[in-house]
Amino acid sequence: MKEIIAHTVLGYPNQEECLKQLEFWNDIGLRHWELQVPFSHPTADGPLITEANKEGLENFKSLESLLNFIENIEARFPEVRIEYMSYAQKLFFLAGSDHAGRIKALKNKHWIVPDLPLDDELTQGIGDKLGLRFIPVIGLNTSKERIKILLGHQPDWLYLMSGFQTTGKQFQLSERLIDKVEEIRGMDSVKIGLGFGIRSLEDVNKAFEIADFAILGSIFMEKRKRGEFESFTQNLAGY
Amino acid sequence: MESIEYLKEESGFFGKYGGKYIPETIRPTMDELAATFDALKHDAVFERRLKEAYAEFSGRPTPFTPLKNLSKNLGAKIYMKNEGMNLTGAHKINHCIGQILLAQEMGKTRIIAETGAGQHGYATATVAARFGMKCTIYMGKKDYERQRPNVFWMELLGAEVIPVESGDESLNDAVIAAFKDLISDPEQAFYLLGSAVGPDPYPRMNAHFQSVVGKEILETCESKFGREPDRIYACVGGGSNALGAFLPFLKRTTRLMAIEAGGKGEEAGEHARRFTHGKPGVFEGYHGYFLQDEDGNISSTHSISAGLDYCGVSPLLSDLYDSGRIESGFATDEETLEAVKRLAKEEGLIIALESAHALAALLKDSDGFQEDEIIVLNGSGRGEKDLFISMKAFQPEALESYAKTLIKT
Repeated sequence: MKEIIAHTVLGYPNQEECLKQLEFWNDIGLRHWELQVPFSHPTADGPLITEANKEGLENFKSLESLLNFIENIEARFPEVRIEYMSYAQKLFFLAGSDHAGRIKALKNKHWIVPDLPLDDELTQGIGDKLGLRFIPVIGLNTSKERIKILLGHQPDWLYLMSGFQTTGKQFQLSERLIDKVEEIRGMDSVKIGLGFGIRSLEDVNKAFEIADFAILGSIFMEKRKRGEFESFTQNLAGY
Repeated sequence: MESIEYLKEESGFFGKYGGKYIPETIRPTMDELAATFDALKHDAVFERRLKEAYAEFSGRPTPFTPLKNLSKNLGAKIYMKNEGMNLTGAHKINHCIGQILLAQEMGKTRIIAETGAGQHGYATATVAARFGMKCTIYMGKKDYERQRPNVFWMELLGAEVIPVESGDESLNDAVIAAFKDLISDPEQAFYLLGSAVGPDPYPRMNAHFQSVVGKEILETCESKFGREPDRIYACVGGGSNALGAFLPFLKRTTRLMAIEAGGKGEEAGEHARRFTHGKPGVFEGYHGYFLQDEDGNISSTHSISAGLDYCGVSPLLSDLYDSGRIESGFATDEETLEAVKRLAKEEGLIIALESAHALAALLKDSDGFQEDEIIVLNGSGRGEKDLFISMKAFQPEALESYAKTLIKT
């Protein structure tokens, strides 16, 4: 079954609006989310998501209040599948903090952390301490040998970057992308999510030609800034 | 170059620190770089090209200058390894030459770099021009403005210099911008990283290229005094200059003094004292000491010297600090400026604000010096680049008047 994964940054543009956005997604049937835990330096994100991280951080007084918010989301939307996203430093910090138990107790266990390699001891230690499973983020230049190593960790699905870019750039169903998907399909039955640059229903349909999930992120922020969030999102209903 | 045992480890880990914490899209580039470096670091032809470029282009070996008046006044034998005499005025050219030779071997066509004080950017633009490659330099907007003369030189050398307006507009944000560029262009671009930080192989690779500094110090001391120095003082931003000076001495008895920026106070955002005020973290591709807030976010830093104004410190130095092999110290902005003034007046040497931190710490420790002690100050760079910052501190009216005159004429 094909699904859209809707991404946003927790606490952006503020806690109340963030919750309303999630409520709206839930109401129209978008029930697979990638929720980014805000971090001071989101290295792989483009300007919009970087700014959203900054606002997200400002809207939580502390990590304690952010965790309260996350627990509230899980309780309020029990039917929704959530993948959390953040960066290595945040997870490393959480694993060594008093909050580790609360992360471990979360219902949704899958995290997307682009700068934590799955085959690293420190990563595995963090995963064990926090009770997490990681979703690998790979690119068009990730070798077959490397993909094999990552698949050896039996991830729930693979996040494939559609091109060489940070978030917020243009989506293309290039020959190289199609070949990469075919290569993965030839190796394993793992589900594939396509992300980076998916900005329209047309892009979503293109992504679904080859992938299981289409991940939309910064476009929601762009539409929100233009006051077009609801009309844009409504078009995605049923995916 | 003679091999240094500490750098023999090719896993990229030094104790628990180091590693390769990067997105998968740049892993092939890092793996290829590590493989190229490991294959060539002791290759006779590569070493000859490196030595030739050090000697013919940069001007190595750099002077080992006795600080006669300071020695007399402080009661010890004090010398300065004057890396400021390198082409482009600092030690940065050492790893720039090494890395661009590797970039050539890898068939890369475009160089990306970040810079703080501008010294690494200036050196990168210089080698890119020399070796005929396109060059893009990222610089925090704050640094872009306070180090404008270096921006001018980089542009004259043909580089595109991009001021980074995100975050606190300093070195850290420039590093992130450079990584983002690399994520977008991993197959053509070579990230010529400016310190012994970042994912493997950068920390050990840049430390290797910089170790020529310590080797020259050791050779000079052995031929001049028949023994190693008692202490070496070096400032620490990311750690390239300190590691370069320290590495050949790790198995010796020389005290290795790693001096950080004390800035203007003890509060978060007022300094860059990673060893004493930071804690281990994983950021910008490596595991090492970082300044962080109570929720694990990376803290802002401050230093009068852009080259030390950085949140993290090399994984090699993080490990050496934990093991007790290096000692940490600091100097405030004010102490640093006083040190610049003192060296200028007593020795006729104007050193960079970065290097002056090491001198300021040396001056603070001088009560404990013995007459026969050999103390080496690693002068990582010369001070001309700091003209406007120093003028603003020492003669603000003269600077204002000069600026007005420049605008009028």
